[in-house]
Amino acid sequence: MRETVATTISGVLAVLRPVTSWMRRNKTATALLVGLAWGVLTAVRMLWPPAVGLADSGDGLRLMCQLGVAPGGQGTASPGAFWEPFWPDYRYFGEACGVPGTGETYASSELILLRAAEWLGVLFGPSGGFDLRFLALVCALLVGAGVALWMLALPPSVSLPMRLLIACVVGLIMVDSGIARFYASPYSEPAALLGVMLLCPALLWLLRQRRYTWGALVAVAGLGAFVMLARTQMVSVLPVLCAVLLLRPSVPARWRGTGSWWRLRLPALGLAGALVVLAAVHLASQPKRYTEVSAYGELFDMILPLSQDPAGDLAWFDLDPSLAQGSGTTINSPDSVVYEPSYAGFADRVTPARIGLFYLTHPSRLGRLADTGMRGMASYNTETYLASYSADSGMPAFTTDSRVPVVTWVFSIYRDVPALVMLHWLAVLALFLYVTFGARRTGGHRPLGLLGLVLVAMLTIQFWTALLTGGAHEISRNMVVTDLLLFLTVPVVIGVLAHRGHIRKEEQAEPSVSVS
Amino acid sequence: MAQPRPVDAARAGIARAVRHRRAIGTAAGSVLTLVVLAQTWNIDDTWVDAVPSVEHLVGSCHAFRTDSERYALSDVSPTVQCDRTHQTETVAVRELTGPFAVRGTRLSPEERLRFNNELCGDLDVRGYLGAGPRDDYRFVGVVLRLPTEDEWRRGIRSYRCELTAEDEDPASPPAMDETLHDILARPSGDRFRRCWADAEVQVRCTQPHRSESVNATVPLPDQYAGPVNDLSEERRAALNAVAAPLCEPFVAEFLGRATGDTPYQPVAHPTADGRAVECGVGLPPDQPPVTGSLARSAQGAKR
Repeated sequence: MRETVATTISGVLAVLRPVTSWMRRNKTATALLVGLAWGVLTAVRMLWPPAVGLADSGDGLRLMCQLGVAPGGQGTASPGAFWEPFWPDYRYFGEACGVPGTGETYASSELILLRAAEWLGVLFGPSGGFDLRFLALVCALLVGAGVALWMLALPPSVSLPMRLLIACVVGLIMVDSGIARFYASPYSEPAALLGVMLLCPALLWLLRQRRYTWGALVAVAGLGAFVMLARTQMVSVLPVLCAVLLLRPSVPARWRGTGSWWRLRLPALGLAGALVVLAAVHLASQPKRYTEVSAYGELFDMILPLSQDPAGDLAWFDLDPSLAQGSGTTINSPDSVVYEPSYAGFADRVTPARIGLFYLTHPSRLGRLADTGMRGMASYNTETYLASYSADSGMPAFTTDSRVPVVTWVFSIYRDVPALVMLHWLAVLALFLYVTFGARRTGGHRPLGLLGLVLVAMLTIQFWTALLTGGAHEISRNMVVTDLLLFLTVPVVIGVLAHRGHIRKEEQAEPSVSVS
Repeated sequence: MAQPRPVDAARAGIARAVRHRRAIGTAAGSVLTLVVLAQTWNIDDTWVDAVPSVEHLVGSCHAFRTDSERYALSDVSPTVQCDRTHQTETVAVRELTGPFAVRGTRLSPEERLRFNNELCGDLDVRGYLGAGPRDDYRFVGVVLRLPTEDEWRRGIRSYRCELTAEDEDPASPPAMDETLHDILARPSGDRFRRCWADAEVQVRCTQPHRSESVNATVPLPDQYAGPVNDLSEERRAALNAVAAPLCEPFVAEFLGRATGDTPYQPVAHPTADGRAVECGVGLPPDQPPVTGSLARSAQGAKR
């Protein structure tokens, strides 16, 4: 029996040896094949009958109307019970296309993905509308590209089996039910999620260079802009992006590459400045309506429910204490206090700046806020008010997708002990700090350590941004990007631990990305 | 001075060529990045063929497919013929005055709901629908439409009040295919009349019902006023016996003849506070529920 098993194993290894040998000699082709496999897997998990997506809660129209399409089904916005894959052509006039109520235009880089899907639909799909399944195909393509780029961008010190493992972990994260359901939805989350995933290999490419090249700078700046423009909350990653861009010199050495700190970073300064201007323009152009909705949610759905003195908190904002009856409501709730006469002047008194000042002067509230945030993160993929299946799929109303729930299942441990989110954060932060600044700063370690620190910084900023700009309503959905950033620390940790410890000649001579 | 070796010159040439290619690639990548990112901002063509707010007239009908259009602050879509499917009808075009007119910012969606009654509450909806004194209408909503944000900035303060049929089926938007003007004089107006399926459940008169409102409320004598939760059949019969004579004149006016000349009878539906009854005209006990207004069936084609 033992001899049979040994013989079988030897036979399998003998078959695999040429394959692994070929993979080692053709790293680029290997990465492309792995990426292709994950792209196909993503497409299959989305489109295998019945296809899955995410129902529209009413938010989707602000983007989809810009394509000139209206919700399918009965002609009114889906109540969330079923996913509507097909949106028929429709002509909007004036403020009918935009944010519900005010009609202000909502800009998001998600429109880039929607336009790409629209072109696919024109080429291959039925006429007369937009099919969200083509958006799923576009997202599948990006998942495959991202997995391939992760494999290519990892330092040479990471062995081939570990590259495969890391790529597969990234792929598994991106096809998890809690992430992938957005790929066929009318929301702006796909742009944020895929943008973050694609930004990581670009950052790794950049961070492996002692002196930044223009290609890597453009890649990071371009993908960073894509991420920032996905949702208003994502603008908060700007400081991290600028810090990374300015970390090292970016003037080519042959251009008399010595001089002041600023002069050595002129190209990156230009890009960072462009990102700052872009962020400012994007924030200024965002619908004013959302400022009030966000302020209402933060005060009535976050501050007051966690407060032991709601009347006092309202008085701090120069509001009538009688508005405390609105605690726990959103602006659209039936029992919202927005209709109360004493609500007048709310928008002038509860501004983002004043909310920030409130928390600065009430630091004790931050603890409870953080607890709410960790519970929000831990409740990843637990919402049941948005369906994943269409009405003709045969599935009951409000059925959610659970085709690939590996990450969801693992993360369910955090749901039972939300403090594990904090422990995870602390553990990866400590590891990445050690790897980056610790004693054994080898060539392969440091870029991965820096990437990890970038992820932790983005995750921290996103966590607090989501908590301070929207209230507890839909906190699980608002935290999905933060969850993804936390998940992506896992493949980076694997890369750090898999580092072989010896420095290759290629890293010592010229630390640019080398692919073969 | 030593001459550069041919090998060094060749290497330098190759390096220049590589840099040149990389520069072209990087430039192309940068341009492509900008072009792709530019797709974030859409050319807004929704204002082409839009009809300014000031050009909408009383009696014009408006078709909407989505809830966002129905509940939008403004509407500049072209009107439709009222004999085509539509959702709202303009019944008044007015000018904002007083504090509303001098505001720098347009009303918010919540303010619009809050001031709906103030700005459109005095509409003669009954007159527009063609309701007589004994015609009770329901299921008609009033929507306030404001100028667009751009029109507001330009100083335009005209607004309009629209009537809309309230939702019959939450899954589909309410629709009309004729003008609401004098609709209660037509059989199609029955969907806006109030009827009762039984003693308590209110329905549209297009649905099976046993009684129809005659738009009259009469107070009950004190000894009969009281809680109306879980009324027993005996108490209900007693209330009816007391209220029927009080409702008789209104029912007769509704039917256009004495009640005794018809198979119908006055029916009393207690109000929520139990102090009054709403008068209705009811079917005989042995007749099954009917659809459509009883007034037409009592008077034939003539109203």
